[in-house]
Amino acid sequence: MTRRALNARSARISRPVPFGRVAAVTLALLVIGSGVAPGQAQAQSVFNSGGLGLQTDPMDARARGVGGVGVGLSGWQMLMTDPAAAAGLRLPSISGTFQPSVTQVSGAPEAGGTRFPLVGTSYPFGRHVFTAQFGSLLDQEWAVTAERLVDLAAGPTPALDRYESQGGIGQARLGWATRIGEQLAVGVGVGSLVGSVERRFTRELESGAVEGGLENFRQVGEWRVSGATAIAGVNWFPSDLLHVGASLEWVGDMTLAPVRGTEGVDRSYSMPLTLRTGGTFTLAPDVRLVMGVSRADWSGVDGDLGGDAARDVVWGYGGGVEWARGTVRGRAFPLRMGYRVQELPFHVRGEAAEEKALSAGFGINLADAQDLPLARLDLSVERGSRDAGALSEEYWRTTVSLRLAGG
Amino acid sequence: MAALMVALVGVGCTDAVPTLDDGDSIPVDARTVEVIVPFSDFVESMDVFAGFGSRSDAPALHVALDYEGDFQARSLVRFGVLPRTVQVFPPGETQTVADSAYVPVGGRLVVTMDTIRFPTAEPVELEAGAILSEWDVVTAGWEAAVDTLGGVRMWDEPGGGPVRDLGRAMWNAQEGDTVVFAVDSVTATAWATESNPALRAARISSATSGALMELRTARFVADVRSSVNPDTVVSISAGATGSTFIYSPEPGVSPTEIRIGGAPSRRAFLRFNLPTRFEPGSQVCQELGDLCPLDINPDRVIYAGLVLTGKGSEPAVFTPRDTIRMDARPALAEGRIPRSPLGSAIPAQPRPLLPDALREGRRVEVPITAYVESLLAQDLGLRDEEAGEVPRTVALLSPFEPTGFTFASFVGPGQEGEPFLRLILTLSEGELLP
Repeated sequence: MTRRALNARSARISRPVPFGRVAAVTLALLVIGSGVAPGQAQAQSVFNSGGLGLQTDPMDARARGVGGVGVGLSGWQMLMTDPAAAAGLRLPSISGTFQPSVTQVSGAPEAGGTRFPLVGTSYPFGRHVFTAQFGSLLDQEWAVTAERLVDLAAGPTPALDRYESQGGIGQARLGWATRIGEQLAVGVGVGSLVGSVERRFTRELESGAVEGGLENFRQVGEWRVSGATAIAGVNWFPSDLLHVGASLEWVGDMTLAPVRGTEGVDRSYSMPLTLRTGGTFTLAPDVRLVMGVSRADWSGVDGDLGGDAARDVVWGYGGGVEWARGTVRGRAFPLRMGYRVQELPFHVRGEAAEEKALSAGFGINLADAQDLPLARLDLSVERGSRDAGALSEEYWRTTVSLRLAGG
Repeated sequence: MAALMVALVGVGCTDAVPTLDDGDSIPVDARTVEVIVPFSDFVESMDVFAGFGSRSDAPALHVALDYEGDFQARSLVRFGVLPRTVQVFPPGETQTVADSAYVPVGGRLVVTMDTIRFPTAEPVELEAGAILSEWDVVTAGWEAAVDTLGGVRMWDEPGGGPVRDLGRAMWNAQEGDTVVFAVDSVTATAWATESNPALRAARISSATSGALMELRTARFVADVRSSVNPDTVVSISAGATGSTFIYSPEPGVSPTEIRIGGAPSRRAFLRFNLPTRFEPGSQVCQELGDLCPLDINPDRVIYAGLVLTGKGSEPAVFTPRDTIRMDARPALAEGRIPRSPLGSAIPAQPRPLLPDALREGRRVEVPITAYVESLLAQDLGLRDEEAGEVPRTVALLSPFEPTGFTFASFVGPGQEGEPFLRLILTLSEGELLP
């Protein structure tokens, strides 16, 4: 195909960004993403050590940028927290989000890594849109070390205890969404909890304590996660200025089944019923106010964890502003700012924990076909903190989302 | 734009698990204890055998007379054949011709001695003799010239005799390492014409009481008169083709001792029968207290060492003067002990033992953690069948057999200081999951 023919074919696409540039940006992000990302999601927080892990909502960069709770955002998108938001997608799409972060814990070394909180694909069929998504739920990557002295015949011997938790719990879900008239969209999704958890305790004694050396003591267990999950949501557009959304997410008992020779029986934990609601209000032609609140009831899991390990009710709320007038080389370049507070369900060191984050971000359509965005990139950066009594940590977290097609 | 995004995304270019330094957050309560298991609680039977390897394979030959009491050692050396021909100039000729009809008229036995490892402060008198009876270089000992299965033949005189005397020679270690014995024409002719290699041999012994020496090389140099030109005498030589040393006394094995090493070597075979549980009231549980009853499984074992207590070798002359190595290897065919093939070393490398470590009362520990874990797994039915059976018997030996006439000696079972098994166990309580 000649260059002229290529130009002729792309003439129908308004304001095209050269494909090479799109590819270069995408490639750069993927390379960086793969470079920082290990094979599986890595931990970013010592707060992962509380209860069943750190709650990690499956939100994309736009939702993070405006500080929302992942429901009631204007426009059409794939969000696991808002199943009805996919109802207006006019083209098949694929989207992915990756999230590198760096955390500085008080009195501890810097930690960090990358996770992939949300990937999905959508396929419109008539008035219906079907989705398949995979998202994060609980992050369980963390470790504790402690120095001990062990009494042997040769005398007190230094030992290092290390307790590690690896793995994470996510959810895979199939969804359906549709529009009902011009002012209403609904969506539902059903799926399963997925993932595995590995816990490893190691005691390493100073090798010189005994001639010939000592082996490390290891106690390892691995469990596979299962459990049902379902969500239902609604989006309502009472006027051009207001967009309101709500979703109700149910997660059944989460079961951890021992695998690979791990001793013990299945363990089950009650999971919460989560209600999210939020909305977008257009303050001015290019200025939108986004707000949201969530409520999750974790009281059932407290008893499973031995009591006094989790909050009964966990609230999250946040909001922000999106300014859509910005452009770069004639292309829409919305800017966002937001602030979010999320109570964390599990106590850490016996203290209730909370997360706060100030966020900023932008989005850009890398390629459009008339009024349909064919490749869209969103990026947000959060500066946040987590606190539980005397324990605190601060983090920088970047979220990058890329959606191809979709409309 | 791309640069901005790269910079922002680069925030997360770290991959480190967040780690708390807080022992209270570890849900597992681990306890490490040390356990001494008496010999009778982990070894079913023990046997010590001698006869592994040959004196002729020892890296050094020894010569001694009444050393540290009554230790005697003599070296026996066989020589190869002399060259079949010599090159000589016929009378009036300028070209040499081969002469195969030469006539031995005498010669020398040239011996070099070690001056570093076994120096003697005073000059020592050595004596040599031509061996007159057949002997086997591999099996010859002080009493027997041949000691093969079904073919034992004793020396006419214990100690490699009788011999045709070749005289004596003085050796002063401070002056050199070579000792030369004159060989008469009768002996030279006999060695030059003898087809039986066992009879082309010399015995070197010490005539000085209290000396212990190490012989490095021996060579027979013959002076032969040419048949082509009778005025010409040519020196030709034959090197050693086999050698050994014989010594007396030769300690065997003792049921109350664990002996390893020597030439030929000794090995101790221990048949393990490990306990899988310590019951209250047992000797072990007196130390463990409320931890008993205590199950022992491979996961709990972080160290296992077989502890031996040194016992000076008897007679004392057999106490190692140099580092010896000790190995523990499983016997792969218990039914063929003591000739069972042995498996891979349990500690991967042989354990070097300095002479000081073998003194009476000193303890030597052989780490056998991997073996104990495997055997426990087998006894508890936790071992994968495809991994093969773990032999129950372990041989203690000194590689590479033999290293010398000295051997290591340890207190045997039933004696004060008997071997024991030192176990270090880590026990954990609590669950990994919250």
